[in-house]
Amino acid sequence: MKHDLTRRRLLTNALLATSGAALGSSASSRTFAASDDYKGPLLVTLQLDGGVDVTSWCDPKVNTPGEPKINYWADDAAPLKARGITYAPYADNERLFGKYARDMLVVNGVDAQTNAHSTGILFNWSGRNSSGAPSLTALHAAKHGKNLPLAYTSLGGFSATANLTRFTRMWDITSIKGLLDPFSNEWDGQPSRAPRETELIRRFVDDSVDELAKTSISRRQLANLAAYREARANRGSMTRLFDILPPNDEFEQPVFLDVPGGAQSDLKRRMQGVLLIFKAGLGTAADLSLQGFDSHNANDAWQVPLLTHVTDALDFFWSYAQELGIANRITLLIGSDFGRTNFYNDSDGKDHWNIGSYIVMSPKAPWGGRVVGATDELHFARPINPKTLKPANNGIVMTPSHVHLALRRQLGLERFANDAGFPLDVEAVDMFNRNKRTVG
Amino acid sequence: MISRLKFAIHSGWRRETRALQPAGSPSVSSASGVITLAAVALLASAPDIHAQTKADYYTDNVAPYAAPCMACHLPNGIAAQQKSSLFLAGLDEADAAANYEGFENYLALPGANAASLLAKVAGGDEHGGGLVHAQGSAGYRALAELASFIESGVADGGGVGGGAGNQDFWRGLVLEPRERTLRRASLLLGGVLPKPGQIKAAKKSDAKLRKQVLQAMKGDAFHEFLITGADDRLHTLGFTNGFPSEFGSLGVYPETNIVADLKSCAEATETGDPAVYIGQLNQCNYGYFLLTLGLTREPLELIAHVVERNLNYKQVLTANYTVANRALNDMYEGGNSFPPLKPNEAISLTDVHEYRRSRDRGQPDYRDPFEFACDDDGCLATKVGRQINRPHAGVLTTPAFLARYFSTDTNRNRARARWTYLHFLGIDIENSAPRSTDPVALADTDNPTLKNPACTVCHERLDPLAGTFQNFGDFGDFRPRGTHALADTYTNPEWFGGMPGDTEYRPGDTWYRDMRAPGLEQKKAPNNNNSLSWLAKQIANDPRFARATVMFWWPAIMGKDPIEQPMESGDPNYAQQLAAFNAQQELIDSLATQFRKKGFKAKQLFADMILSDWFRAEGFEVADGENRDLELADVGAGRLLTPEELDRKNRALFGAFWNESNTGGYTRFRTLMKQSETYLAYGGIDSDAIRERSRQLTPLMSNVAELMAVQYACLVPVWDFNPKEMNQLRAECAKDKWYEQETASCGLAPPEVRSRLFTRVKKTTVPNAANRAKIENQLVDLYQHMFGLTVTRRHADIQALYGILEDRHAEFKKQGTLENNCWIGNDEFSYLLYDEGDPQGMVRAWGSVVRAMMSHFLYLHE
Repeated sequence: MKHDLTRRRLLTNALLATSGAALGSSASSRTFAASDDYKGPLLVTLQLDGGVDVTSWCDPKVNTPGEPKINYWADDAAPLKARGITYAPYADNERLFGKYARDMLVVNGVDAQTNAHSTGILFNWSGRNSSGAPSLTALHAAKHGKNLPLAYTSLGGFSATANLTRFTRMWDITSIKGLLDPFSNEWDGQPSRAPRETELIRRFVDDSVDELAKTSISRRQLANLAAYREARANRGSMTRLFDILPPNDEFEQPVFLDVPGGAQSDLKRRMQGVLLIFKAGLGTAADLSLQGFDSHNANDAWQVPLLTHVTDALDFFWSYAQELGIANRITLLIGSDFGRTNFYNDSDGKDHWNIGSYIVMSPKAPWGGRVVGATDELHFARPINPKTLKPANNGIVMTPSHVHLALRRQLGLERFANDAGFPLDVEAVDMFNRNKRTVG
Repeated sequence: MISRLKFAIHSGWRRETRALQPAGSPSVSSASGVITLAAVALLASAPDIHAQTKADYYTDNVAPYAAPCMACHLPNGIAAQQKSSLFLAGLDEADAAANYEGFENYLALPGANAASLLAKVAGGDEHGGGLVHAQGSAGYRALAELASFIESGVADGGGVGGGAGNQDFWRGLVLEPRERTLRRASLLLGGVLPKPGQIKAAKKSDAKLRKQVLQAMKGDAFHEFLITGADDRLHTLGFTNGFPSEFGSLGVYPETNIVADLKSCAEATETGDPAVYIGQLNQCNYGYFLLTLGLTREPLELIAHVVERNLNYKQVLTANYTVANRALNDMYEGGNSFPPLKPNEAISLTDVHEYRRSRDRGQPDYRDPFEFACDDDGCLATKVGRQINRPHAGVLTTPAFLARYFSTDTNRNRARARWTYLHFLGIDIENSAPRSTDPVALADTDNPTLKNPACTVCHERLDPLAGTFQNFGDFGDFRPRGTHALADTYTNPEWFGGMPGDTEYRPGDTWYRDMRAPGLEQKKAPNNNNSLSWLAKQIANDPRFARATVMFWWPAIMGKDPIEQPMESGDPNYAQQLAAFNAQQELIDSLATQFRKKGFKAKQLFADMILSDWFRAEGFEVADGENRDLELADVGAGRLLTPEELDRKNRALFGAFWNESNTGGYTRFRTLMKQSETYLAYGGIDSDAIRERSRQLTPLMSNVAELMAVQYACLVPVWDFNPKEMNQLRAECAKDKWYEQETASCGLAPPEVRSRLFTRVKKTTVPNAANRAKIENQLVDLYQHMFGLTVTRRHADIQALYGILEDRHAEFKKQGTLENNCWIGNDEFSYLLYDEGDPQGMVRAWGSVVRAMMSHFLYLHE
């Protein structure tokens, strides 16, 4: 074709330049001696941006005679099962579910009630489809992270606080090494200015802004002054992170993803950053994201490498958390904007589909190894009885609100959220009850 | 504003009513302006003069708020298909009377009334279009007033569940002095401090303040303000930060083949061409670097071009030209505004930063015969025939805009349509529909976006606009299939496992037959060849464009995104959020009206925004017990400066950016604040993964500010106390070539020449009783310079700062030195920091004072 002849892309995406086999998932062997400050529960979200194809992941669907093909993999394969969880024989799922099924609760048949990305993201991560509510991570940080400098860190994805807390946005933790202690030389740790000068200045500024706060400044200034004072008061302990950061060459390197056009992911490096912040006792909650799941063209060419990478990254996450000795305190919530259609479009892609899934993970969780919620053979959500969790025609179709309410209860955030003015007015679904399951 | 208009309109109605009142009819109260139902009924059947009055009323009070209704409620719209009974005529002013009557007719239906209309406006009563205006909002109140007026003849100000009005939002307002507004505006827009004469002039009146504000809009800093402000919305700079640079034009234009020809680089290496050694520019691939930079910045530079030259802002969309740097101009074969770029040519910073008017005539028409050459990587066109004179439509046809919002076979330009709606019409399509989407509709394979009401509610609007991008391929290339840009999966399904007859495609088509025809809402694009240019004109003439422009620039001027309409009345502080939203919407409407009246001149708009109460509010006198914290949280002075704004402030006050590099890069001013780690840590965006700025300080950001103060402040008195030596340093540093790194004599750029700050003291003036007044007055000057506040010598801060000076000097006397790791960037001049350069330690002591002030809240916020 003439088109093909002339459309050669001369300029290779910079991402392609890095070759690369994915690195092994074993974490660094560095030992960590820092004493933890915050020792309570930790919460992380992994937001798979764009709409993950859950029918090729944790809610596997085979093809139904007389219906459009839902999955190519189902032409010659059947779903697999690990403990109580059925999954698709796709990407590197066998490794993920084989190793971690006992640590995960799969929630299927969650209706995001939208096919618009922005609303799907809002609903899935705040539990409400109108703006103004805090994310689950924000609630967690607001309750547990008061006075911590990195109580809530956003390393990608949706983060909203509803004025309950503030979040710190960062991407690469190695890049902030030089910013953890502004009063010391990065190269030798010695004070960059006389400590007495620093102390005099600290006193001057603190006294001055205390007086400023008493004057009739604008509400905007007052709000920003509060943030300024809080930031100054809480920043001191950030040097603890400096103490435990491994050398740069021990940080996870970005990996090449074999998606159409090629891409690079630093998800594992960001995960490492989150876990080090937790280890240093500086934070309680964090958001992470991985982009690329919006596979309108060539669905499998996108979803396979991305889900393979998710497995790799999750394996790294838990291995590294174990090494740091904090795994048992972590709850990890994985989800997406929504799902993808139950058929391929003309370009072998799949478009937006409002039914999706969540996976909740925590090591040796008593509620693990189960599936809650269900969809039919064409991936329509099936109503369930919120008490028994069994399919019931007169039951409810779960939305992200139901999942968030259950998570709030499980994480001890419900009363806090209600008191803050953000209740979720939906039926409670008893999804963390180890004795109940929808399937199996 | 509404109150004033209402009075005028009531007067108009009274006048008309008197003229038509038949004998025996109920009278109209001239005192109250109340019109009886009978009178209204009479008016409804009255001839032209009434239609004119209705039109006036509608145009003045209702039109901006009913505009969103037009998306569905025009005669052929989606609402009609769903049995709605509200029919409107259109957005044009000529449609005003008919639109008024559309509401009249609706309210005359059995069961319809003001309450049912308003329930739908607020997203209830199964309104297919979801929420249009929140209860209590200006739009809600305008429609409530209309309904009330139609029903009862009484325009009651939106009392039908309308909630509180905005008229007292500004109660207790305390405006900052004009000179303070000028200072903030000058720093924000021009990166300068106003001169004494300008301050004196601005103090006299708002008109004179406005004039000075307009004068601040010039120079490099204003240009960067425009680029940053535009990118905060369009995010095309993401291409320089990791967003894949897949411009459709690359590989299509022969010129792009030349600039990326690495073979010539190999030859250049052998011959020792200096361009080879500039590692910052990807070795000798200079042309490619310049080209991608040009492509990336093109839409932003075009916006800056329009604003800086005071052109009609509509040209941002309607310009039948573009702007290009030298390499992009080559690609476009845009004419003689630049000399052609030669392979291996030495790099010129002018080429990097200068953009001139250009037109795209460079794309070959591959329907003509052409020659090509192949290697292991594929084939390239080497000689082509005719070239295409591609139509331009401002930023919409720039490759960067098109590639940033790329398309796919099934997306079919809908992402482009979504962002076009948001940025230029102010409509967020994704938030405009009812929330629930029926999964059955998504499973519908019978063209649901065209037929299924669950989908058409958005696609009715989205798809025609998407169609106007019909001539551009997925990554922005113009008609990549020769005569069209349609997907192969559509035109040739047999290549993908389908049958040839599976498609509705016919030769000569440029758009999908299974989608709505290209257009804007109910208007169809008349010519497929230039539909995007047609769209640009439609948008530019749409009443929503002016509002959208205000909202586009709101974050850049006000330091915060426009407030989202609160939707959950049960949320804490809902009333406060709604009050703030309403007040802001009213201001946006008012600014948009002024913008239209002043001929769409962006500088005038910026000046209006700067002079608004929203920008200038310094405080609010609040009654005891009244909590307005959230309501006023975004209003007025006190914003946290962004990294770019803080950088500009540093330079304006002291003459240089933080750790500004003297050499080593193509960036005009390389500063530590702009290096990615500090920039992102201080709340900046990369326009790729991070697109939202941090607007309040966090502990990490606080550390960045401290680091800046530590590294920068110590230099300020050194620069200031040594003007002669600084001239020598400038001369020395000027010898460095901009691309040198290892061999450069200056690591840091010397400061620009500035008026002296330390005019009341010398570097040997030490703190003691005799010098105290002198030093305190110097501190007062410094306080004014850095914080823009005038205080007396007895102010606690001045006394505390004096204490720091005393302490540092005492330490010097005791130790014989003061620790100071300050770096001036040139070893030859480092003596200025110690010993004979600072014989009493006072230069260093003053550095401590500047450091204290630089890390202060009042320095970091404006």
